Amino acid sequence: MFLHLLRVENQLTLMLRPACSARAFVTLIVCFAFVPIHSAQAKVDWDPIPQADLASTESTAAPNAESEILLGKHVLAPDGIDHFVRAKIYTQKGLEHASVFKIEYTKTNKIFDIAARVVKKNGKTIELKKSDFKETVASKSSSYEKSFELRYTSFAFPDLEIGDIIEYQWRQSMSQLSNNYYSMPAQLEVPVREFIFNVEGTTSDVNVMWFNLKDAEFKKLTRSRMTLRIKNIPPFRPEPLMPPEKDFRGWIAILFSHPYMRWYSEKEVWQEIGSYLAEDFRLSTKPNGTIHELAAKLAAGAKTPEEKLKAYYDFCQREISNFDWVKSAELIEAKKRRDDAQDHPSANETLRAKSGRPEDIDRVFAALARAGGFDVRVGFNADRDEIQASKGPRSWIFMNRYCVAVKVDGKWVTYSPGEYIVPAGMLSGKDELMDVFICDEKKSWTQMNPVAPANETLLSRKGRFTLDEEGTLDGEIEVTLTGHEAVDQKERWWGDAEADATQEFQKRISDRLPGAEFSDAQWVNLQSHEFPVVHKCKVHIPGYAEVAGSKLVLNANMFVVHETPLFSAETRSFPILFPYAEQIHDDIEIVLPENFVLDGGSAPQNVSDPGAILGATFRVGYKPKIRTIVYSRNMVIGGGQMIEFRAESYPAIKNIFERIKRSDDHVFVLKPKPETADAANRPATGKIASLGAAQ
Amino acid sequence: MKRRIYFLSVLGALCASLAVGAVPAWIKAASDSAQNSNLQDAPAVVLLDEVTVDVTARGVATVAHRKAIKVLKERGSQWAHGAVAYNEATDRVRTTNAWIVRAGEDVKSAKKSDWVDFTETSLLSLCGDIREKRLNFHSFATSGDVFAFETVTEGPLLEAQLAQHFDSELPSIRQNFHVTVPAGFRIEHVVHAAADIERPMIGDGGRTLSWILRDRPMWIDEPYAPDSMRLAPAIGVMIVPESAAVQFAPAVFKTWSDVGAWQEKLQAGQCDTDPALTAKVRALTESAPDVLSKIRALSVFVQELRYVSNEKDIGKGYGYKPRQATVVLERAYGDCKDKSNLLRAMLRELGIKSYLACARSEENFEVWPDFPSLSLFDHAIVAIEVGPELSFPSIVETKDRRLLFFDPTDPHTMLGDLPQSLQGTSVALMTGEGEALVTLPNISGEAGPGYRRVVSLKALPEGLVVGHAKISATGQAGADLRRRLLLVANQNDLDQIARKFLSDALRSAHIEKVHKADDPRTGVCELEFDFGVPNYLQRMPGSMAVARLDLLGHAGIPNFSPKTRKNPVVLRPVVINDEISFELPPGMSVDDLPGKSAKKTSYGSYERFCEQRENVVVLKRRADLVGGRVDVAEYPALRQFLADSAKAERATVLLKVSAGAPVPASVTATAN
Repeated sequence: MFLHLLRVENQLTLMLRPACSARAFVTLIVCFAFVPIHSAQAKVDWDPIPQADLASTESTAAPNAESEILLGKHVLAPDGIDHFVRAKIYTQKGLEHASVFKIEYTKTNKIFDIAARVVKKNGKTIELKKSDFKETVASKSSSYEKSFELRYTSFAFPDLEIGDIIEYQWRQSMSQLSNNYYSMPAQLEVPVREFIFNVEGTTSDVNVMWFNLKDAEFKKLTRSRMTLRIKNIPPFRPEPLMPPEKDFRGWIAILFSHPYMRWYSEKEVWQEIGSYLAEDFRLSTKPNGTIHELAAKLAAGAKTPEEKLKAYYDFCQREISNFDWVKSAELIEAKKRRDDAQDHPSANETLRAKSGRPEDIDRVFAALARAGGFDVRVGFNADRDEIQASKGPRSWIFMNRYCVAVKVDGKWVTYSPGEYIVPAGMLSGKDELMDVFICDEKKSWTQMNPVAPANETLLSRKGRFTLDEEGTLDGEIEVTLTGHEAVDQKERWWGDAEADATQEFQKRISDRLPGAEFSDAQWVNLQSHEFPVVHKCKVHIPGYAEVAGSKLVLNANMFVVHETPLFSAETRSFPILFPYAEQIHDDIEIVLPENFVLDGGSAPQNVSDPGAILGATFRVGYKPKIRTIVYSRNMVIGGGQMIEFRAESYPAIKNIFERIKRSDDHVFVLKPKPETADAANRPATGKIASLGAAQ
Repeated sequence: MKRRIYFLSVLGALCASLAVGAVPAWIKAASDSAQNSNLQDAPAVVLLDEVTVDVTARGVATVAHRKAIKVLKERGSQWAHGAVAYNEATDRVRTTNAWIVRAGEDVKSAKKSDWVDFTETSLLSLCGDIREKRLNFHSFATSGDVFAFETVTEGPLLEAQLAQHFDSELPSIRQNFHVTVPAGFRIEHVVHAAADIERPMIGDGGRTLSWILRDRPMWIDEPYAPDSMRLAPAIGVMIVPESAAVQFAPAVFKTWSDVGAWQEKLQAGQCDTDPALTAKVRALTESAPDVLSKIRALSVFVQELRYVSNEKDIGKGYGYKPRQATVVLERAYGDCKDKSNLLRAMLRELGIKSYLACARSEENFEVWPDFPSLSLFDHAIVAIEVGPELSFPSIVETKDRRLLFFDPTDPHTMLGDLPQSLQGTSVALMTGEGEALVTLPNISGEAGPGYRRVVSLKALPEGLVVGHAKISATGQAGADLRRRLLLVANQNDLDQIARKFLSDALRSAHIEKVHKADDPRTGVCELEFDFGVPNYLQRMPGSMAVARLDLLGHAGIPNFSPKTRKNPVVLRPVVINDEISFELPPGMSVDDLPGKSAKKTSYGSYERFCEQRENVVVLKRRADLVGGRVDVAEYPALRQFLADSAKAERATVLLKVSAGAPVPASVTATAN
């Protein structure tokens, strides 16, 4: 039953996630709507608006704000939920965004008593008439199994001007069946002066949860009467490379639960869920004779537990067709049968069918591991793209990702061969750094999934070039990807034409180096389970080195030249989360034009932080006999498996990337060869002379 | 009677059961056609795309659409979807069928409920009539399958014109278009961009015309290409009823004047006035010193009204009928035609004549002069009659009038300029006096979109290179900057806009004192700011240093990577004038300057030169990109020009450091 509960709620979360759009106000009302209207319009008693609000010309909390929610009040009652919003328009942009309001709802969750009005600066009001509210069926299907009808009521405020206040309210029916879970953002693109969520009686037990909202005042008066009040919620502005929005944006969740849940403490609920899921997992992964035989056969050559598990993993990933990735006439039928089934198949059944959903494939892996003598458990974690913080009292509602925990050398290691292209020994980026709830019939526990070390994700770029007297660079490049870099590329292009991948690769270079020409492009392992992914091609870049008078100015690293810095904003509010730890290695050789020599020359400065978490080292040499510059750059992001940094670290991190950028912009000057050899320009000894690093 | 009903129901059930699993003959026939086609890397191919229109004497059209697609590669299954649009107020969708045929067998037939019905009302519309039924069999189709669907709709025509575009992203083997009219009616037609459309077959005593298009290649999506529809062959059909066909309800347009007259009639009474409107005009214009200022005051007022549309009664032509001007003023919102009509009413209060003009909001859309039809337009603007004392690039002189065209729906394009999407297109002018199509100007050169960017740079002893930048954007470049500035919510946003004008080398610079200015009279939008960056100069071993003067970004000049191309290129015009001055640090002198560089082609020109004026190095650069369409044959030359132009943006100055001269801390010193 708990598994069912998890699934239902995760589906609901997806269904009710508000669509984000630049049209702040349209979004705004959709955000406040759980789902939405109606018929007869009753006389509305609007509360008086304070004179200070009528007269105000800007938000005190956020002076540049286009508009401000002065009050958002939502009251949950047994027959539904009442919404009320009062907002003030401060700028032309705010006015533009307050054009059309749409309240969405379904056929079964009606809305009633909708009303709206404009309050002018002088207190004069314009109330919308019944005919001003237009009802539209947004989409509908009459299918017996999945009949649905999504509607919306739209309206526009008349004679709205900058400085006016708008008010709108409606009541909406709401299913309060236990285990239903709803979410709504409380922090918007505009400031919210006061947000109130009251519960005034429900038909089920209700839990009100709030996230990332400072100074929330919560009062629980009775089991079915409570009030949540938050003041001065600042506008939410997402930042690049920030952790999931749900970890930092203010929002609330309402979870309806059955009265029997009262019998359990918050801790006990976790264990109840764990016990139920662990038992189901144990029963459905019990290996039969076939699996025992297969496990023995697969592990025949394996010398270590890790090798055995890799053999099981590779078999499950490659030999059992994954419905999410593989399609054929037979699989379409098999998937339909699986979708129609009441219960999930056992590992034995999935192995027999040779196809399944990702979690079915994980169960076969678990059964093989059990047959191979390993202790296994089922684990659940939230999706790192959705939410990271999943240790709260009822955070099981976020845990929608499945894995198998296997005890290896006394430690529990998580695997998920249902991830079709993630290699054995790695986890998807969605799972790294996440708390996994490992279910045990007696005592479940939580542990964190590790981040793969940086040396497991390599981006190696090799270039062998010649430069001519006009600055044209000619040669071959080879880019090799492993780990997450390779998985990302495979995920991006799986099933697509390789030519599209080539085009995008070339575009990324030619955006920086206009006029670059490419030929003989080829990919290796882009659309297979094998690693590494390799891309090779020839390049011809006219005018790559810049002509300055009689000299040439050369940047040795065509892979990074003119790249835009990763961070440019001067300040930051939220932590930085890199998608994964990785190493980038550039290995370049450039043969200089015959009649040119290096005019001095130095190596770029190395950049590193004391913990070697972020940084880049450079080595530059010169082979005078063959006029070749030998350049290498080794960059690390996430050394020590550290990929998440507090906002306070932003200036230091930005500084590191700026310094790397300066080193990346480092140039060499080439001058025409003098009539007689200029010994001063040649290193005295050695086949490869290292150029000293700039300070 | 009961027995008969029973018999009919049994027969019906039997027919239904026979239908399941039976592949319609037209799909079988279409499937056979794929055998000999050379389809190379196409993920799927359209075997047949057939539209049949049967028009009755009353002007009701039955439109039958059949399409069969063969999935060639797994990714081609994403094309296994069908759709039919209809007007819920006037049309009936009579048939919706779909199949997946695998190895000649029907393996999945669509149920009625597989078709999901969506509103096609836009985000900023209160409500609308247009809906679409959609079906998606993507998850059921696989390589080798044939996906097919057929739909039939019935509804009255608004006009006696039909436009059929043979556009298809996939390669297609056969596309058919059939039109049948009642006896006594005639069919006239025009064909566009269609060297390969066969001459129409005439059937049924001239009542039916059929066009066939065979073996069209796959549409390759490329940046800066015109829309596929614009390149696709198209047919415009004009139904000419017999003179006695009084029941024929659709509007019949023989000339563009007819279109204008029909709209004039539709709009009669909508450009009204009342005391509130009169008072508003007075309030807005009383302090304006001259006619131009008054027009400008009114145009800004209408531009700032919220955009809200109402897409109801489209079938009655109300997509072309504005709401009354007084109502729009009272509500303070409207769509393009509402705003244009309100502006006309307000201008009339000042005694200024103006006209509504129908336009197309898509960039580079080609209006067919020989096909007078409403269907070509989806937008409305205003043409204001002005005297010779006014001079603006958006003024067009017609035979009888001097017209200043203005789009009150675009809040960022100032009076005197035109949105890029309208430039060079034709609009249908409604003067009520027979004037027809007017082509709007392409605004380029100095009057067109452009940037003037002036940057001064100086190395400070304490380790910073500091600079001051002033960006002045005109025309559509000004409109774009204005749009971006309107979205600014805080200082960080403003800094980021400023930063984006800088090249990659300065993108993470410290930005401060950002000042913005906007002049509605000239349309010039400006941004001024200071910036600073440490260690910008690179010291070389010995006595040399390097300074990059390519401090500014590309400013909208594209570049193309592929050596070859399938589609023409559509370029937007832009003129860029840059002046970068760098004050040499004490103890440094110039060793080498970037050379002079210049090129002039039919696509544009650029020029760059660098000189030393005492202790200041000045780099001047001008790039002028002529907008318009460049054919595929000219692509290599265009590509070369753009690459050369981009190279000319780069400019590095080599500096000599005097022996014993103090080296600013802003210069990175070398170890050896």
